[in-house]
Amino acid sequence: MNDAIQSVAELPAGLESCVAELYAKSAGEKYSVTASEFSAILLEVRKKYLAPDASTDAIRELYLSLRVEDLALARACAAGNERAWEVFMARFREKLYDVAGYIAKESSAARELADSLYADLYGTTTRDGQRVCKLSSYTGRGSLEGWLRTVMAQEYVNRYRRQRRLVSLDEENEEGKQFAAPDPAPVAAVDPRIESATDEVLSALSADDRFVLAAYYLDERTLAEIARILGVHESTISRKLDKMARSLRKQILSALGRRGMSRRQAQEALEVDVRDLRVNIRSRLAQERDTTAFPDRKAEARAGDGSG
Amino acid sequence: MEQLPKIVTQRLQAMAKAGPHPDPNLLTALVEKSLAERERIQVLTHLAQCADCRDIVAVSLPEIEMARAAAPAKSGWLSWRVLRWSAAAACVVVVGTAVSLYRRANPLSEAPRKYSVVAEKEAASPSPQGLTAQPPEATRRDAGTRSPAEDKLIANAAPAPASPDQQAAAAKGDLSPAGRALSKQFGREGPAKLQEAASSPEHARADNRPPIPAASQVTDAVASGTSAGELDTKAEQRNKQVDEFYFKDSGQLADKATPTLAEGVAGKAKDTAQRAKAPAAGMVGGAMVANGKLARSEAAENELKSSYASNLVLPRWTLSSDGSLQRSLDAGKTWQAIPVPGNVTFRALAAVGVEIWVGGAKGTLYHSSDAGEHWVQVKPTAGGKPLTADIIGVEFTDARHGKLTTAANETWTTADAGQTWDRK
Repeated sequence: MNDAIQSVAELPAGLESCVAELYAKSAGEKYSVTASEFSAILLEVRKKYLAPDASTDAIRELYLSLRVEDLALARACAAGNERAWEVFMARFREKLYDVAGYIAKESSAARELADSLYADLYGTTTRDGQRVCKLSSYTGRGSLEGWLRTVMAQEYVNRYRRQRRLVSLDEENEEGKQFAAPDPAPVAAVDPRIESATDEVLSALSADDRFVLAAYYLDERTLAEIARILGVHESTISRKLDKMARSLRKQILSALGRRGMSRRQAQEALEVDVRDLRVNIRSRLAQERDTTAFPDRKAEARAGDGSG
Repeated sequence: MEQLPKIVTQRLQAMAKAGPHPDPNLLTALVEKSLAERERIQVLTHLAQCADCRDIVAVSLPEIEMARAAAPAKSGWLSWRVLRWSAAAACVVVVGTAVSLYRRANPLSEAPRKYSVVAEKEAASPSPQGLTAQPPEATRRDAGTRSPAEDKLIANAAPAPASPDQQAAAAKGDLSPAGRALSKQFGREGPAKLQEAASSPEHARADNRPPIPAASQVTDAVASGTSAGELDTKAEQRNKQVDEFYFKDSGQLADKATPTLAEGVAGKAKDTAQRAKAPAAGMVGGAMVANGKLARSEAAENELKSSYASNLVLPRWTLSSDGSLQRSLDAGKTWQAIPVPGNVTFRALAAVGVEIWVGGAKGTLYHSSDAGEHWVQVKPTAGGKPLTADIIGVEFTDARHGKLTTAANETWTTADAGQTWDRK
């Protein structure tokens, strides 16, 4: 309750009515969340995401973006309100097992995943002697359902993916694919100027663009997946990638030029490291040899005939 | 996709890790697009550098969207197969437009309302079976009032699929299943059937009214391939006549679709090499008439018209990364933001001809019947309950039949262009 009193005191002028409206909208009363408790929750959320000197407008914007209904429900569950749990279970019980099944793709792992999440949600884990309910870390920034999905995905990635990744890291290294190893050892000694030029070009990209590059080229996500994460149309991602693939090389070349490399040197330096391209060239060369192999053999045969 | 220099992927991987991982709240909010721009950039910056968090976000994506995301990729409006049929469908709409224009122009004929309904039916009937049966049926039903000129127009429109490449190039646009079904009919059955219908004795008997001379001249001319100069004059004649009739009859409906159509006809006559383009322009006119939404701002209309007339490309639509609606009139080369009232972040979009639907946060749904010039907010309710969940998918198969998917895993369907909704 101390928190609550403090929060009311800290509330900048002009936000009281906003908070009161949100409280009404949250229907927290149903789950015996009082107005001051709700206000305290909002304060906690605010402290988590905003600087202490944030403007009233920024605070209002944050508050208005919150899923207050979900927030009140989650926090009431965390506080052990039975009515809230009933509502929560009615809404999410089956869904959570579905989501787990979808994420884990395999029934025993899905079961394990969902059960472990339930354990977290019920607060069977303890920290410093206190029961900790995972729901108390929900802040209403996204929907509760989306948050549950993300929490489950997090658990899944922590448990299974990372493990698998460590196991297969060696194999993947052999194929020339590297995942986020702590220090990806360069395959060959790379001219530091190329690295710094590339870094410079990459850091000039927008966060969106860098994310798209990483998701597409490192994680090999599909255009559809990336589009869904960013909430845009696939064609937008496709255009972005095309544009970047075209411009990145040029930009790196000119950055190398600024570092004192001649155009030709720069092109060569960049070319040397394009392993994929080399593979392509090799396969193309192989094809060309195939087509010329036949006449060659004929010629050899003729030569053989002549000698024999 | 083009290859990146290896060094780029290497450096991407080696980028310094940015601070602590964002909590699941922020990752969720990112996917649900409820982050402030500053936070969004922070989270994306981290994601670009953190394979684990990218993994988490990708794994957490809702299942329901999987099918949705995969489907449009296949049936994208750039598919040549679709484009070819869209051109054929354009021919059908030309017929519908010609019928409705002719009726409107003729004071002896029935009220225009009825024709627009007929045209709309032709353009937007949901059942493929009903549709395949429709062209002959419509012909029969209208036999009493149809002039030979129109019948010839139908016959003229039918052979058009013979040059699918030209048409495909001309008529870039999304094709509703209705159109596809229709054009299939045309493609398979060929012009013969329609010609047969047009010249059946029943028609000849029923037709006792004199046709509009100019109209028949133009259509005759197109059919017989008269010299270009002669056609020119005739086309202009027809053009004038249409304008005259049109404005006399429906003065307050300032629809520039009519001249567009007339230009299309004129162009068709003038240059037989560009024959395929006329139906495309006609389709625009037809769709507008069929939708019955004729009041449009002049400037926007002119812009649209010039775009159709010069490029003959239907507008393309997309949602930008910040959830605003964008339209391209040049096949995706440039995009302009189309303001939608309410300033909502949109997450789903459906475009069927000039009918645009956009959906976003908290059940916000906007509809435009005129390619984005005017917007109406649609508030779906089912069983007295309004739709409040975020709309994450909008699909419209034609002007009337559509489906919404929401973040709450609900499916809302409508069969009457959003007047009433069913929730599943």
